[in-house]
Amino acid sequence: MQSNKQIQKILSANHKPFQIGLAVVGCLIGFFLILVSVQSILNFKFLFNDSKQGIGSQYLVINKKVNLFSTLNISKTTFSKDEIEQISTHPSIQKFSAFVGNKFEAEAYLEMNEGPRQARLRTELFLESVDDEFIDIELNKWKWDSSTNEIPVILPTDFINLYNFTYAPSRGLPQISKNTVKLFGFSITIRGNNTQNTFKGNIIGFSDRISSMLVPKRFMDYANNKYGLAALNADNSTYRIITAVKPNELSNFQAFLMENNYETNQELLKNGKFVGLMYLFISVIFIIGLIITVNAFTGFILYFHLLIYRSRNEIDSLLRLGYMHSKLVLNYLFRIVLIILPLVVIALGGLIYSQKFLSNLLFKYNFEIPANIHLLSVLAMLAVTAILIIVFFIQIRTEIFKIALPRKERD
Amino acid sequence: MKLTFNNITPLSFEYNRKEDSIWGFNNTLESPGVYKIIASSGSGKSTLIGILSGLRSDYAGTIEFDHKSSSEFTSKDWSALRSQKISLVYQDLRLFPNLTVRENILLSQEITGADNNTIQSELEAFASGMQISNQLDKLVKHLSFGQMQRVAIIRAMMRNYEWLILDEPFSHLDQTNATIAWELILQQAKKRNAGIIIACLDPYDFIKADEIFHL
Repeated sequence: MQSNKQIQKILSANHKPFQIGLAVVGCLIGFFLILVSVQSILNFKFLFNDSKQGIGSQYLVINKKVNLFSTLNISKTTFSKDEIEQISTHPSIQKFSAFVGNKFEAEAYLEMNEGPRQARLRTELFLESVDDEFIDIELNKWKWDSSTNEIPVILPTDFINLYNFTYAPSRGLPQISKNTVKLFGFSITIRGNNTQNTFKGNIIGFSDRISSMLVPKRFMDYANNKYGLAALNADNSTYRIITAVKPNELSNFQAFLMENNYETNQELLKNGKFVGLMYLFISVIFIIGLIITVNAFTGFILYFHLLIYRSRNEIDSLLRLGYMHSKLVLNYLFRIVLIILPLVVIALGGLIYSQKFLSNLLFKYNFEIPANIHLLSVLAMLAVTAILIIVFFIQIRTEIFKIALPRKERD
Repeated sequence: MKLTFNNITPLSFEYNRKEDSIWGFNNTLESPGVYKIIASSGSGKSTLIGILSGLRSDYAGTIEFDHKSSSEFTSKDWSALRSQKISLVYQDLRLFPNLTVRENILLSQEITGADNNTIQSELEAFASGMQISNQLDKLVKHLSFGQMQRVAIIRAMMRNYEWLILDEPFSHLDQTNATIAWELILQQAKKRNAGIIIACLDPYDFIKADEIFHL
C-alpha cells in the first residue's frame, strides 16, 4: 500500500543510520560469541561422549593409601559401606564399580615355541573383575559360559610393555605383538575347597584403563563361590573402586579424594584440570557474548526510544488521524526484525564456516567433530533473538501507548 | 451520529458559566447541523476539541457518541471513531511536513479506508477550489500557514466522517478564501449528511449556524 511507504517516510524522518551502526556491530559480535560458545560446548560434549576419541568420562581407580599403620594391620585399607555410598553418590561420579578379587589360588602357564627358543612361564595369578561397563574393549568376546573351560582374559597394556621392553631384552627372548599374544596357548589352574580345575585362558584384548588381569564378573562370582575359601568369601571387603568421573568435574573430585585421603592416578587428574579450564573458558566466552549482546540491544532500544521521542509529533498526528497504535508498534517491531534477522543469518553463516574449518583442522589431529553445526546452537540463537524481540516489543508498545493515552495537561 | 454533552466541565482551568456555554450544561448536538463555538483565547476551545477527539481526559462529566459514553472507550474505540466518525482540522493542523500536499491527503484517505476510485479527481477539484492546485506536489514544509490550513481542510473534508470538527480553521485565511473554504465545507458535509462543529475567535458572519455556543 502507498500509505505504508508514506508512513515509513514519516517515521524515518529522524532516522540516523550511523547512530545505530555501533549497536549493529556489537550485536553481530555478541551473537557470534554466543553461537560459538554454545557450539563449543556441544563439540566438547560430542568429543567426551565419543569413546573412540578417548576424551569421554575419566576413569579413575581409587584405593586408600597404604601407610605404616596399615602395614602393622592397625588401620584398614578397605572401603566401608558408608564410604562406598559416599563415593557412589558423589555428584561428580557418573558410575562406579568395586573390584572383586579372586578368593582362590590361581596359576598361569604360558608355553612359547617361537623359533629355536622355547620358554615355559609359570606364575601365580591375581585376578580381578569389574562391571562390564568399565571394560574398554569390544564386549562381544567378553562372555563366559560355564559349559566351556575357556575364560576370556584382558591383560593390562603395561603388562605386555613390561615384557617387551624390560623382561624380553634382558633374557634374550623375542618381543611379541599384542596379536601374537592373543594366539598363545595359556592355561589357568584354579585350586580351592579341595578342588582343582584347569581352564584355557583366552586373551581377548589389552586394557589401557585398568592395570589388572581381568576376567568376566560372572566367572569370578562362579569361581569364588566354587573354589573360594569360606573364610575369604565371608569377607566382602572392597579394596579398590573404579569410577567414571564427569570430565568437567575432575577438579572437584580431586578435592574430595584429597579430603578423604584416597589415592588415584594423579596424571589423569591433570587432564581433568585442563578440561575444567576449557569449560570455564567457554563459559566466559558465553557470558562475554551475552553481555555484548545485551549492551548492543540496549543500544537498539535507546536508539528507538530516541527515534520515537523525535517522532512523537508525527506519531501523535498519525494517531489523531485514526491510525491504530498497534500498527505503529508493529511498524517499529518490523524495523528491528529487519535489522536483527540479517545479523542472525550472518552470525549463523560465520558459525557454519567456523565449524567446517575447525572440523577439518581437528581431523588432522585425529579428533572428529561434526562438520555441521548442531541444531541446539540454532535454537539457542533463536531463543536469544526471540527474548530480545519480546523485550523490544514491550518497550516500544509502552512508549507508543504513552503517546496514545489522553493527556491531562492543557495544550 | 448524536453527540451528547452531560455537564462537561474542564478541570484544568476556571471557566465562566454562561447560559449559552457548553461547559456545565447538558447539550445534544445532532447531525446534520452546524454548531458554532465562539470563544476568546484561553477559554478552552482546543480543550473542548481535545475532549471530543479523545486526546484529553482532564474533565468532569461525560460525552456520549450515539449513547455510548466516552468513559467506556478503549484506545481502539478512539482510533475507530477518529478514522470513521469524526474528521478534524486541528488548530496546529497536524500535517506531515516531509510529505507533499498530495501525500498528506492520500495518506489520511488510506487510513480511513475511503473510496479510492474518484480520489484523485476529487483532490484536484478541491485543490483548484481552494486555489492550491500548483502546490499539490510540494512538500508541506515549504507552504505558508494559510496554504497549510487549506490543505488541512481538504484533508479533513475528503475523509469518512459523520462530524466535521474544525478548530480555528480560517485563522490565516483572508475573508475571500475563508468564504470559499466554508462553502466547500458546507457542500461536502451536506453530501455526507454530516454535522459541523466549528470553533473560532471571530464570529465569522458568513457562517450560518443552527446553534451558537460561547465559552
